[in-house]
Amino acid sequence: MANLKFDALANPSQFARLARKIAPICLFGSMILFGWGLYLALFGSPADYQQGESVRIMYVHVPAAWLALSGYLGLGLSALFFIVWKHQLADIAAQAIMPVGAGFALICLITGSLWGKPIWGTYWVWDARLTSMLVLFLFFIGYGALRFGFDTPEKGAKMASILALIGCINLPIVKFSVDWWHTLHQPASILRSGGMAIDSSMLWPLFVMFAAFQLFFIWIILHRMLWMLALRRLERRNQTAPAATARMSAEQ
Amino acid sequence: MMMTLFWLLFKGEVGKGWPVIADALSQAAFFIMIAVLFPLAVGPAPDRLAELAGALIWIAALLSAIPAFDRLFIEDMRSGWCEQLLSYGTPLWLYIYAKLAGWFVLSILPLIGILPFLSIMMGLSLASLPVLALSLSVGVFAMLLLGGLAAGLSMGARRSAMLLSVLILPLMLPVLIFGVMAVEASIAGQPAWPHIKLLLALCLFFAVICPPATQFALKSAIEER
Repeated sequence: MANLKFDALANPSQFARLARKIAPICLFGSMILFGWGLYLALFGSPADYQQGESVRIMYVHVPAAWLALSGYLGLGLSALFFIVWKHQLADIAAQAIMPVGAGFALICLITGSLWGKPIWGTYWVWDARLTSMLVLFLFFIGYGALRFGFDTPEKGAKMASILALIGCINLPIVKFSVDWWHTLHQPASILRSGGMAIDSSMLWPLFVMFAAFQLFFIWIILHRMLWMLALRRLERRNQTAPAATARMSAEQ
Repeated sequence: MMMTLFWLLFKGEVGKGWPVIADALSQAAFFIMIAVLFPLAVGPAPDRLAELAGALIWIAALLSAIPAFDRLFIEDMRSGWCEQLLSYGTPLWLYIYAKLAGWFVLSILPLIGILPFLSIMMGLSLASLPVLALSLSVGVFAMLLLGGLAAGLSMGARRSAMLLSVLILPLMLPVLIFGVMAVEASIAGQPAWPHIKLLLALCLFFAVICPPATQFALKSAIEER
């Protein structure tokens, strides 16, 4: 099974060459899209007839939610590739994704909380979606705790990958149970509806911001992966030839 | 062949005598401690307690199971028993099932024994007791499966006790949710059987995916030593 053509994806040097070419494009693209998207979000789109100007947080909140979820799925996919095909690059990808995904989950929770205060009158409510996002954040934290609970992140790699896989399988179950939990315990609802029917004048800025965030996410992951690859190469060189590196650093 | 092996391992776990019985009793004691904390915190008003009783007993049962997980595999790993089993060619997942089954049998009996007294103290009607006992049994077994997974994953990690709780609790949420809903349905006089079925399905699901994952984790821990 290991000699499926996935080996072509696993070559670190090839990845590094490809990533160095793609990453600046992603950064450039995301900056342009951010500029345009922010203009559209702040000035080019209408305020909501009920929520007023505070609806504009949506243009940050929704892409962050999407990135948190897709980040976790990416984590699971990398974990799968690491466990089954033992690609070192997959492990690096998982390590790269974890803080970024957790960060976006946190951004989603905080922006949602700030959005909630003027709209619902409270910073937090145990809504199904908020609770699910909180649990997703905890999944990320659990992965990070396991990963860094070992002496080196590499030792924790296999264990953390198993946890990521189990977490991905569990995610639909948790989502389902939280949904059910919420509908059965439905308090006098202060939310008007389950979601907004969104007008096209708001949809276009949302798409632009989506694309901007997604490109930014790809750039930051590629950047982190390149950085970690370089770090690992350096560590390996330090282990195999400490005298040589000591000489090198002395010469500098 | 598998069944005799399982039975042998199971008897080995249960037949250890006083050490494992002491562990089970200390888990029961922890259960009582936590369950008593809640009325002290919430206040003695019987209506409020009765409202929260199912949830509080569930949380106490789940939390009391957590300290045990640290000790699940550590002795056998340290004494080399797991390596021996591997070299005999025993499938580790069988050993894991036997260990969890033994632990479950020992720890659930005191728990269920205490339930009637706790129900009376919290104002839970005794008519809901069978549902509470059944849902707790299934939930504690699911918790054990996840605990075995978490224990295997954190083998060799520093501060594994804290790590365990962080790992288990997000995975445990569906079990808690369905379990408490079963008890509350029974209190409200509605059929709890759909919730129990969901609980059983969850437990079965964990029983399928957790032991192989735990086996993989234990094998990796053994190989990396």
